[in-house]
Amino acid sequence: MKFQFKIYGCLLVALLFVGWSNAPLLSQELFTVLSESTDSTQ
Amino acid sequence: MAKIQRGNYAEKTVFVKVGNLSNIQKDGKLSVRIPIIDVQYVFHAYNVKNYGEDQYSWTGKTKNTESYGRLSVHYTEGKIFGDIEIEDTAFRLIDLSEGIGVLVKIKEDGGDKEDAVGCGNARKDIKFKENGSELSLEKNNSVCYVSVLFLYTDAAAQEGPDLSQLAYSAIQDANEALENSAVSSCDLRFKSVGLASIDMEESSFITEDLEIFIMGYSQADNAWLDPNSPFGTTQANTLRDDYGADVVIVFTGGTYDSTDGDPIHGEAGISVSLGGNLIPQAAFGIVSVNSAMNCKRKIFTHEIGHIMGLLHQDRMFYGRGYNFEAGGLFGKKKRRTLMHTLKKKQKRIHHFSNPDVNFEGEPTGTISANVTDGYDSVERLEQTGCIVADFREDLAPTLSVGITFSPCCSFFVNPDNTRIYTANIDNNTGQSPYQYEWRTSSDGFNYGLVLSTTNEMTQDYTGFQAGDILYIKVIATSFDGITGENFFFQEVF
Repeated sequence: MKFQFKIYGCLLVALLFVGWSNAPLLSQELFTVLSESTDSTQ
Repeated sequence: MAKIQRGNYAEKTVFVKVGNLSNIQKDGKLSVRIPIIDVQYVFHAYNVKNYGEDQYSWTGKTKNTESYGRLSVHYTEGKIFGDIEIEDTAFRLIDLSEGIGVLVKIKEDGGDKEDAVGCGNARKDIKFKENGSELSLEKNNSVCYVSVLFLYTDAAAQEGPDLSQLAYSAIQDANEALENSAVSSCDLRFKSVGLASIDMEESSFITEDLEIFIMGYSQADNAWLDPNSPFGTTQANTLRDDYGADVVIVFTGGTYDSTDGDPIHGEAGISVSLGGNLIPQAAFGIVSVNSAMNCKRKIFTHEIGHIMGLLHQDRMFYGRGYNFEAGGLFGKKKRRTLMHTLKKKQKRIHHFSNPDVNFEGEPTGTISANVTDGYDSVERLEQTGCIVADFREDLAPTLSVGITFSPCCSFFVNPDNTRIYTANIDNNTGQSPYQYEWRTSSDGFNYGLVLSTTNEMTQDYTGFQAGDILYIKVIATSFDGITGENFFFQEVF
């Protein structure tokens, strides 16, 4: 249980770090793609 | 989103988060990787209007590349939207909510096939050329804004895009075309006075639909509207009066076909005839939403050009479209000004014809010696602007500010020049005395301290280099507290 808590704790810290380190980079882009491009059906 | 994907204009779509352009652009340059085609372009600012933190328009174009590219983004009321044009490909950015949007790659359709029939069927008005008198230039206004009311049918609303975004882009694009073409801001700018729905069942013939708004035109006789004919009495005419609109543009949703099968993108009346007859009854135009989504066509600006009295290139009249071969950069490709019709693979640039303004080293028109020769739409627009702006009284006047400069008359300035800019306030708006704040900016976003508080500002261009752009902004406030602003983009050569 303690071990699992540590793992999740580490994961959370890692995710926060990745998010923080990428934040300035993302803000430099006009377009951040959120989906695959979709062909329109007609 | 599903509605947009079903729209007749959409080929591909992608969800995007759109960043804050004011922070992303650096020194007037914006590097953008365009999704769907996944290519990076650098756009250089050439028309930026920063109204404040919550409203701006930014337009840039590519330089020194094989492909002509233009990116135009608008931010207003928390929404960011606009157009991108990369040579043969057009994209439309639609705001969904909170900075999340859809980028749509616009579908190519028959509109660019062979002889383009559509993109404005200028009507036959030779009749008035023979009978007409010289155009009167008596102006009731000194700074002339033409008020535009946008109407839309149910079918247009069903097509999916946010029509308020489309209307906003249309006005900004048309004003940008006037600025690119060196039309004085005292002589003509457009402003929107509203967007409203109308009850109207569309037919498949555009002229038939236009006749709902314009009475007195006989298609059978190919005859022009009689200037003495009455105004229409339809809902659209009533709304025009209610909004105090000088001109009306109706967004439609269906497809109009010509007799040879090519789609027609729009049609408009001509409210100032060749001979100078004023026909305010004819100041209506129809713009297909599907066509308006394709920024390459510049269909709104083309149609409102007709309403202002401009014609296609093949008419013996100086206020018409022009075709020319652009120099070096884009492989000597043919370019058309806004009132020229389009054939396959032809490109319209964001300019009205004007022999005094170059595009990539080539003049965008030829000098007009008399009414039947030359290509000079701008001369015509500067004649008709204040007249059309006077069709209806402005019901919600703002302070209309125009900027002129001296010494006259070249639009461009040399690095060793000094130029004086003057703010002109329309004599019908606000009470004098007025207060002024002049500022300048090198990137269009970041303006410095107030440089002048009178109606004039002097700018010394010593130290500037050819290719530099100085953005000038003036805010004026009347004695009774009404404010107005305007921008001037000074290119240095």
